[in-house]
Amino acid sequence: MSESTLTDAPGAHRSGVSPQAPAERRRSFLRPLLLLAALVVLLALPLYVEEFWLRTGFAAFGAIVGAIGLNLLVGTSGQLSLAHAFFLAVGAVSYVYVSGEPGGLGVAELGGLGLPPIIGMIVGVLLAGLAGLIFSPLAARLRGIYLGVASLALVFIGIHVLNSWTEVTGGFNGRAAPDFSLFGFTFANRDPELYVLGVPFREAERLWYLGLALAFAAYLFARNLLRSRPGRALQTLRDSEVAASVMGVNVQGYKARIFLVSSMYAGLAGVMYALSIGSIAPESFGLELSILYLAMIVLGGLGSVNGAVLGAIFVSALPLVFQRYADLIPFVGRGEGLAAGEAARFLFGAAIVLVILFEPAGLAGIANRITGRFRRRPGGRITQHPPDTPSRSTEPTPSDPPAQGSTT
Amino acid sequence: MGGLLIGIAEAMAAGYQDQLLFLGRGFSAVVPFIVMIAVLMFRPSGLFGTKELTRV
Repeated sequence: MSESTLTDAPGAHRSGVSPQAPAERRRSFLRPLLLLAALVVLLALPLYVEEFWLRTGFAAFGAIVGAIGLNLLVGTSGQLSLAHAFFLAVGAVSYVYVSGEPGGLGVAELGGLGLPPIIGMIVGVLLAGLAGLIFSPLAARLRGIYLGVASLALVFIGIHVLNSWTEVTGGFNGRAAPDFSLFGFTFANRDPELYVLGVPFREAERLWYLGLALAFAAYLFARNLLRSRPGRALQTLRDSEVAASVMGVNVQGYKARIFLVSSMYAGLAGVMYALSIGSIAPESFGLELSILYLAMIVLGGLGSVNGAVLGAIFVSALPLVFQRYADLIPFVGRGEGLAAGEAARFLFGAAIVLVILFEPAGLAGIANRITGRFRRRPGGRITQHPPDTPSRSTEPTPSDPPAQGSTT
Repeated sequence: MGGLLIGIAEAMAAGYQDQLLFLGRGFSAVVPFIVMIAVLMFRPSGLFGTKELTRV
């Protein structure tokens, strides 16, 4: 199978007894340890870091969820979709409508159900999934660029609905998103006041933990999905639909289902986007957002969950960081030079070109190469196994029976 | 035929804008996409397209 499926797999598959068993065992301990350490650092970060970074972090967490979802669709199963912005919009709008309070703001009369935000979040995810499900017959039958164009239609329809369905979406000006709360604990500046180790936990800190939990759950789900039987089936489907159907993979069914999963991811990302910005507006859910998400997964490495995470952090945090440090960076800043957002966009463009030229597996490929050197693999690349060792997880039968040897 | 269909649909949506106001202003800009999705929903290979053959 192609390399991208391996990027997140090493250490997890040990089939049989191989000559390097002790080294492998050490590695398999090392990996969860590293993950744990990263998690501890992320958990402790709000105690030390200022608010700007926490807000950026929450935006990045939202982007991570969305990028993982899009990567499942585009990277893993090879369906080009530009409709991600639409599903984000569905999630965001349903969250805002379901948990928002009804009321008029100036000219527009806004509706709202005023339900608890957690219900709003769930409804947002489910409605985005429903939208994906309705679209999925189309997605299952079209391929490549045709699907791209068809999904493009959704974005334009979505923008139109956002602009014209004022009662729900707030129309052209958008509307404010209600604060998130869970069982009476609001993720806002007060109510209740909270201090941890003398550090005031305000909105940014609380949202950080919320985002961390959601992104981590999304990450785990995607990784486990990819290692499971459906995940293998999806990868075969990307490599060759004919081969997949010959192996007994229900091509249409899997294509439709992965579209559903991906749009649910997008719905959650939309809810987090609304929370992070604090309001929703039609122009933020345009084609540009879809393109940005595509940029994330291409930068990160198609088909790799870790890559999607890295790409999402890079693409979503960079404009914010540029904006903040505009004075320090040459050619960017007020008055002369570029605006921060534009500069970031130029940088994405350059980064994408460079990535495609030099490291088609993306940031995940670079990370892989570094860890590969660290492990002193023969040949340095994970795909190249010496002939005598059993090649792990490179079996060309992805929709295999469980006896394949994946120990997860 | 495709162009004709899209063109007529768009012009009609623009012409009957007052009756279609409940769908929002500027609806005619979106009509082509709706037509496309509707067509693709029921005829995946387009109105007159033939089913694609795949060679292995």
